[in-house]
Amino acid sequence: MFWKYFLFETKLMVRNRKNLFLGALLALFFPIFFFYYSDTEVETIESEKRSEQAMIEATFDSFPMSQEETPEGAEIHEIYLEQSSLVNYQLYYLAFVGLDETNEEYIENGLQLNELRLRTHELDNQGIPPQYIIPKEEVLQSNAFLQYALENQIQLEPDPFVATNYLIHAFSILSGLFFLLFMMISGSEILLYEEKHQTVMKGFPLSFMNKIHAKVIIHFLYMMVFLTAGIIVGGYIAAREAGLGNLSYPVMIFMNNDYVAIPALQYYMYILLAIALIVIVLYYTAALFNTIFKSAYATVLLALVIFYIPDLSLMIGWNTVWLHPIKVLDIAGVLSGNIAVQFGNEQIDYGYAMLWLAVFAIMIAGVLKLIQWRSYKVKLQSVEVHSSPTDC
Amino acid sequence: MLKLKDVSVAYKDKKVLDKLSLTAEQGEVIGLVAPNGTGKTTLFNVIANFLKPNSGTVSFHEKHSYRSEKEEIRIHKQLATFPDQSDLFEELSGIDHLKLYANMWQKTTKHVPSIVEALHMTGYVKKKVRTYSLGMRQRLCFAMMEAADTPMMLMDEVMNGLDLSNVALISQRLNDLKKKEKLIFVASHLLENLDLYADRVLFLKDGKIIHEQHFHGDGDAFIKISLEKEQYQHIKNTYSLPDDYHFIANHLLCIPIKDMVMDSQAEWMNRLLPFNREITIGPLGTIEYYEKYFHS
Repeated sequence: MFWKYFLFETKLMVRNRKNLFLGALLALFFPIFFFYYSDTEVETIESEKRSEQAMIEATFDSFPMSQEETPEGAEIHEIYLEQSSLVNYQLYYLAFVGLDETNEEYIENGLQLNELRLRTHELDNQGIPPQYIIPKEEVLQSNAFLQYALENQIQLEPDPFVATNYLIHAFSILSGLFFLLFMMISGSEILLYEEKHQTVMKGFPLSFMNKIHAKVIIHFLYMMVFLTAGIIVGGYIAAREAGLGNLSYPVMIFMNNDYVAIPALQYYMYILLAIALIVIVLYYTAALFNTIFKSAYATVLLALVIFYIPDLSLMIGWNTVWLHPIKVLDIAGVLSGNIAVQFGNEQIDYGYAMLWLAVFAIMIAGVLKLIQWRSYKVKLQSVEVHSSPTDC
Repeated sequence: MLKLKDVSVAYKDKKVLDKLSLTAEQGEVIGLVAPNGTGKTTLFNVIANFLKPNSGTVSFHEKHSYRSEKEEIRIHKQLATFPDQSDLFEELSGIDHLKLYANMWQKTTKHVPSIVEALHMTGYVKKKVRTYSLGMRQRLCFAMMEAADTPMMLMDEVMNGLDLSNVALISQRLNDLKKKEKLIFVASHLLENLDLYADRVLFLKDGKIIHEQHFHGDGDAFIKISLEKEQYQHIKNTYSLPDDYHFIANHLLCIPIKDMVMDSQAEWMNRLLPFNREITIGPLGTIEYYEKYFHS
């Protein structure tokens, strides 16, 4: 019976214009975003090195003389001299060795550069203007990236527009608020749609939870199909325009309180798995809000408010760090380590996020079950039903 | 099969059902009659547990009641409710709806083609519902009930929007369902039509069943004539009317002939013939009782 109900729901879903439109929009996001992204000025490795060079020079210009007289200041000054030399060498290696093969010299210089930068952090960056300080997280990420490239003899990618790089960027844009909004709009009537056809659908000999599971599964599959189609089309266009790139190319993620490099393919698998779990969590959430508030608008609005509560609390200085699990919905932010930095919680990594997402899914399904169970226990109550005032 | 005990439902201050009790057995077609807004749909909603009563119980086969979802599913396997035309899925076809109901209750759609044929829906059943007329939609709703083929059916306003030939068709199908030992509740405004297939008709007023009309056995016979109020007053003042007579809705005089000898019956006929109105003899029908209880 569940299967037959599921097939009927599939039929309804396929004919639902709102979800068809949203699905198409989701699929089109990837190719459209590519055209936008390929028109933007993205920093190449060389331009990045040149701006680092300029930053080091600016640091020298603004470095206070008095600082040089302290042992720490003198060491920092010395470090910056070394950094300047290493960056110049990197630029030399880029110009003369290039990136057609593994540029070991460039990488080794980069690793030394990072080591020096970490040392300046240990010395509290004394005398360095804040705008010229490279954050520790960035240094650690760069270090992990270069280590991986060296160990795996990876050729550094000069083109940020190749399909592998572009998709990573597209996921980071999609993740978080945009994706949440999209999914909540698509699921805003997940149960309410049936209310519009109440007398047809209400008396089925099927449990409330089975109905919800069927609806969540079909919504999930529907959106995943469009998402996959979008990734394939977007990836294909990017590959045609700029090349496929390297699926083993390192991507930095924050894991176990450290930045580690993983192959791009593994990153895609991580993010797709997490997106799948997020979609499930969001659809169960939509079902819960539909059950409680009986309004599609309230469903979307409340989800947005809840998603923003941790950020708002941080902004106004309330100590609501315990709300951070909500932010695991921004999985690209979790993988990049941004969420861990934002909430000062080193625990927040991919495994932690997946665990919380699973807990959310079980918890929300549990609350739905509880609401249903309670409706049989509470007696002496009038329930509004679909009937006109004259048709009692 | 179905037992309602002391069921009460109130919306704010208005009591819609007031300690209503009722027992129904399989193979019965029970008509439910009441003006709009007096509790027919509420009663159906309580029976199907779409509405929880403020008090009272609903039980099936003396063992199942709406205590838990498991119990509800068990009951709903035996019970289908008549869908509202406006709730049909406009973008789906009639056959999609029929298959849904057939699959949900019978787990098969083998019986659907015969229902389509019997209800003369072959010409349109594969088209989208949005193209259907009111009558076509209503036939589809009835066909969905047949596709569900449950032992108990609740049919609210089953004849809505049907023309005469389709009313006759659905009435025939209801009789066929009765032969299959179904328990069917029918709420309809076509009162005369109820007499054709209902075993009994319940009259609902002020939240209670105020009268139960049975169609089995010989009902008490009446001489029935439609009169003006003045004509009725004239008869009342001139002759001595029997104790159990009715003057329904200020126009229908019904004189009981159960305890009358043939001469008295003939005498009453002679008294009424000069009014030159149609005179009928027979038991009071649903229309007469309806007028008696709701239009007097």
